[in-house]
Amino acid sequence: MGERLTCIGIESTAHTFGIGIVKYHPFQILCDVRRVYRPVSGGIHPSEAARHHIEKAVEALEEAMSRVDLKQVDIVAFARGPGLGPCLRVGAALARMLSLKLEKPLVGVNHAASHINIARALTRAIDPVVLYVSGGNTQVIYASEGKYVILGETEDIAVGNLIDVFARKAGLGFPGGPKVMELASKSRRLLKLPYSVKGMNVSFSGMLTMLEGLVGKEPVEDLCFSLQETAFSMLIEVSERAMAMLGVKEFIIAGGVGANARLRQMAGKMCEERNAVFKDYPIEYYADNGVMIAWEGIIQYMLGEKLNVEDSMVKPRWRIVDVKPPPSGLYEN
Amino acid sequence: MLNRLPQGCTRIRTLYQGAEAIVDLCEWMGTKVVVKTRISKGYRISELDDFVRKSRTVREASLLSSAKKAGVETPFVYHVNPVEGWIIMSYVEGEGLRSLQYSSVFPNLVNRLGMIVGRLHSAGIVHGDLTPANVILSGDRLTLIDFGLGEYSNEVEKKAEDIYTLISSLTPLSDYDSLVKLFLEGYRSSAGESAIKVEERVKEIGRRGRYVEKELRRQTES
Repeated sequence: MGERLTCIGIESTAHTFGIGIVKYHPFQILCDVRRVYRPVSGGIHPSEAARHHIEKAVEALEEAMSRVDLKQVDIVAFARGPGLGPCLRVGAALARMLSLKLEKPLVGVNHAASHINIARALTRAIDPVVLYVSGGNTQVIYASEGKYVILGETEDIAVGNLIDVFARKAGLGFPGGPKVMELASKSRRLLKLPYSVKGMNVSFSGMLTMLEGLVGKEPVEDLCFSLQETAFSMLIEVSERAMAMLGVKEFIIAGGVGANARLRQMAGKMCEERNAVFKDYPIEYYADNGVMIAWEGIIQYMLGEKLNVEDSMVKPRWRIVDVKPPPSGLYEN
Repeated sequence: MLNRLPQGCTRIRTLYQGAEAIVDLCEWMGTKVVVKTRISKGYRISELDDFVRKSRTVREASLLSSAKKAGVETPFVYHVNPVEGWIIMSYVEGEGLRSLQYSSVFPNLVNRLGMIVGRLHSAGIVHGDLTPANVILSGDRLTLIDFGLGEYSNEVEKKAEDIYTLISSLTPLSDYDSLVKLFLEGYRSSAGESAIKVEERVKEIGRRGRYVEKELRRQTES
C-alpha cells in the first residue's frame, strides 16, 4: 500500500459527539476532539442528545481545524449506525457538508466495527475474539473469512444498559459505570443474583429486576459489587467459550464498558489461565470517539466503499454481520 | 494442564477439554468410567465460582438420571461431588452418529432418535446441544450424552432448538428430506400433544436463521 490516506471521522451515535483525524500508513492519530452529552436527569433522551451535538458540532470542528489543516484530508467518514436516529443524523449532516466542501469521498461506517478496529489498530491483534460491550450492545464477535460472525449476544438488555438503569434507580446518575465501579471496590459481599449463561448467550433482565428490588434494602456498595462480579463473570465465561471453540489465542474488549478495570482484570486472568493474550489499550479509546470512525473510514475506503451524498441516509439498526472486516493482513505489519 | 481426579480414578486419556470442563476416560473400581470435571475459574471470585460449578454439576447429574427415568438411554451416574465439581459416569463405548451417516441403518437410527428425543421432551427435559457427536450407538442402543447445556423446560422454543440443531447437521446429506421426515415421525410418536407446535417452531427457526427474526421484530416496531 503505497498510498497515504488521511481521514476525518465523525461520531454521533449516542452521547458522544466526536471528531477524529487519522493518517495511514503508518497508523497515526492526528487529532481527537470529544464533546459528551450529560443528561440532567434520567438516561439519554435522543432528541436532547441530538440538540447537544448540534450545539457542539461547530466548536468541535473548529478545534479539530486548529490542529489539522483540513486540506490534508482525503476521506470524510461518519458513523452511519447502529445508534439513535436523531443523533446519527447530526454527524451525517456535518459529514455530507464536509465531503461536498472539501470535494472528498464520503464513507459511512459501522460503529461496532469501528470499536473493534480501533482496538485492533492499537493492540495489533491479528486474530482476536472480541467482547463488544457498551450501553446498547453486548456481543461476542469474531472476524472470519471476510465476514463478522456474532457468536454470542445478550438475549435481552445490554450490560451497559443493566449498569445504567440500575445506577439510575440507585440514584447514582448517568452514566452509571464509573460510579458503580468506585462503589463496588468498597465491598466484598456477594449477593446471589441470577447467573444466566446459555451456550454463548447471556441474559441480564432477571438480574436487573432483582437489583431494582434490592435498592434501599441492601447497601449500595454490595449491590454494585455483586452486579459487577456476576455480570462480568458471565461475559468472560462466554468469551472464553468462544475462544475455546475457535482455538483463538487473542482476546480484546471493545466498547465503553471496557473502561471498567474489574472487567479488564478478569479478562487478563481468563487469558492467563488458558495461555492466551488479553490485548489491552488506553482506556480513553474504549469510549466512543471520532478517531475510531476515521480509522474505520480508511479501512472501508480501501475496501472500495463510498457513498453518494443522496444515498447516505443513516442506518440506526445496522448490524455488524453486514459489514466487511479488514483484509486479514492489515494488522500484521 | 492436568486436573485433579476424584480419589481412586486413574486417567486413561482425556476425551475432551472445553472452556468449562474436562472429560477424562478413567479406570475406577475396575471399570472404565468417564469423569467430567468443571474447572475452577480464577477470574470469578471463589464464592461465585463455587456456586456456578456446584449448581451446574448438580443439574447435569440430575438431568442424566431424570432422562433415564423417562426411558432415554444416558450414562449411569455413579458418583457426584458438587463441591469439587465432578461427576463419575459410565463410559458409553460405541460410535458417534456422525460416523454412521453413510451406513444402511442410518435412516432407521434417525427414526429411533426422533422417538428418543420425543420421550425426552415429553418428560420436560431439553438437551441443549443435540449435535450428532452427542448421540452414541452402543451395541444396538442409542445413548444421549453431555447434558451440560441441558435444562428442565417445556418451552416450545427450546425443544424446537434441540430438533433444529439435530436436523441442521443432516443438511449435507443427499436424502435430507426423507431423513427429516423419519426423524419427525419418530418424534411425533412419543412427544405427545406439543409435537405439532414444536414442529411448527422448527420451521420458523429455519426461516428466520439465528438473528433474522429479532431484526424483523425491531423493524416492524420502529
